[in-house]
Amino acid sequence: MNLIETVATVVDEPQEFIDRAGGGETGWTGMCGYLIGTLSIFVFLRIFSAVPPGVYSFLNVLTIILGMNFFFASAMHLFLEMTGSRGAALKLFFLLGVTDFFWVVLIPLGFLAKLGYLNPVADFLLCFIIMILARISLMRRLYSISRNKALLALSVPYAVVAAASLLVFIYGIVYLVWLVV
Amino acid sequence: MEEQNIPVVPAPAPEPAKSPGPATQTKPSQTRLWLKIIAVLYAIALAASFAVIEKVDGVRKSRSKDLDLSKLTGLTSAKKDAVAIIPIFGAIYQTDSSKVWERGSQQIARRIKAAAAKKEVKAILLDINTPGGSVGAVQEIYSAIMRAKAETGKPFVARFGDVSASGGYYVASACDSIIAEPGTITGSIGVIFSASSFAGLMNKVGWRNEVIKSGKFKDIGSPMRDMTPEERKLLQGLIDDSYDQFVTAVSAGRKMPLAEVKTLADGRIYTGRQALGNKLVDKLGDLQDALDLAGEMGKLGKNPRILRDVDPLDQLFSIIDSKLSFFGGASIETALNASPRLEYRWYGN
Repeated sequence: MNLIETVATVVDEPQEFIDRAGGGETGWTGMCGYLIGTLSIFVFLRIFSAVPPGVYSFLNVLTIILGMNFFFASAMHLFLEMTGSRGAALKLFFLLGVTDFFWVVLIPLGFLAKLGYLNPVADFLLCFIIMILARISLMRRLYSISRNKALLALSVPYAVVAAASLLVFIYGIVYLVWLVV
Repeated sequence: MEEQNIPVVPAPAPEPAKSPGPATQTKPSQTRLWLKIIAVLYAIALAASFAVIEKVDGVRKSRSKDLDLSKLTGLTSAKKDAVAIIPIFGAIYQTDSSKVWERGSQQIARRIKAAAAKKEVKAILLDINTPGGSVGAVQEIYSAIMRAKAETGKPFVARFGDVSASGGYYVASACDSIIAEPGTITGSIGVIFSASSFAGLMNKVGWRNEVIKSGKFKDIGSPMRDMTPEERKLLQGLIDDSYDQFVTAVSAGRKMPLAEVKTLADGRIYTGRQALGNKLVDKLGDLQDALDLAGEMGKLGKNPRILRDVDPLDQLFSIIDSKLSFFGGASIETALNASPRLEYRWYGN
């Protein structure tokens, strides 16, 4: 399988790719996306010495990203199924991996950030937004839903994680106040 | 019959297939071309980034380990050098718990050792406000100061607050310099053993206590009966020995002749100003004066940076402990269970 051809199809005719591609092609493309995307994120973080070096460190980051996306795909699929849309969770997981190809933009931006021309957080956010838009586009086609519903479904897992973190933080503050008082 | 020629209308020729327009044909190949260019650029960027990472790692490895440790602990340069302040407040006793946030003599000794071991600490100030305490506990702190001085060579300054008598003075005598307020109460160099006798009260209410013991001195100091002359003589021997240890320590620490110390060590108290006249203290001043002196002795100058002897985690555990021990009931229980003991303590306050 030619990765360039596959990605070109995803870019030019995403609906055709989703309808045509079997489990093998989608899976292979998705995992390549995860690998290349994670490598880009890892190298970006290494430029700023934000993560330790080594293969094990990379594998740790890869495991975290795969785990997070697995959770996201599950939550999104559950939400969409509950709201009446039909699709395939595993295919969604691999399509999320395909969108991770956009993280390749992070490396040249990382160079510019290291030289001080750009802000590294802004670079990261820019790539993140591009990735989100790509995910909305693919999810919309896979589940045959509107753009707004796709955005809502995509927000669900992020909202859950943010809400859980906020609750833990608030509980921590309340606990400390109770200790002092 | 005429033949009618029905004209046969030929079937319309099928429309020629539309050939794909130039835009549709070039779009997929354009995308592939761009993707190939991006892939090549990505490979180059990746190789360049590995070179940058190797250079950054090389710089990090060439830094000395001390600097790395400093980064971990939040210190980055010599301007963070400081004078450590260790408070010694209240009566000095050994606690009966091993909790690190307790303020017993073991914990104070540990803090002295830890402060002296810190690189950024150039001098140690003991902020003393105590009437003294048990002999063992006071000597534990004294030993910790002497050991820290011998191992690190760092200067110790003692600062007297309201009261720094008896055991408080014992501890301060190990320091290189003593500063007291003019009105500080100090002195009371001596030993005390106090035991109460409820024999008279028990006789009145008809209470009798039976004791079975292996030796005649086994229940010495018992509140159930009066002290015998033999017991008194024995305890006096203990007192004299502890007293001798006290005056020897003061003589060594203050570099005064033993005879001179003994003339001052009859248990009387002095004000700070009187103590200055007797050479029991070196200067009169307040906490800021003591800090300035410690800073100058530690070569940091006046008004040095202060490192307080406070561990936020210990404070948090102390708060939790106080919450869980039913509002200090445990400390009341400890106080009620206190038994007679030898003390370097002034009971005037």
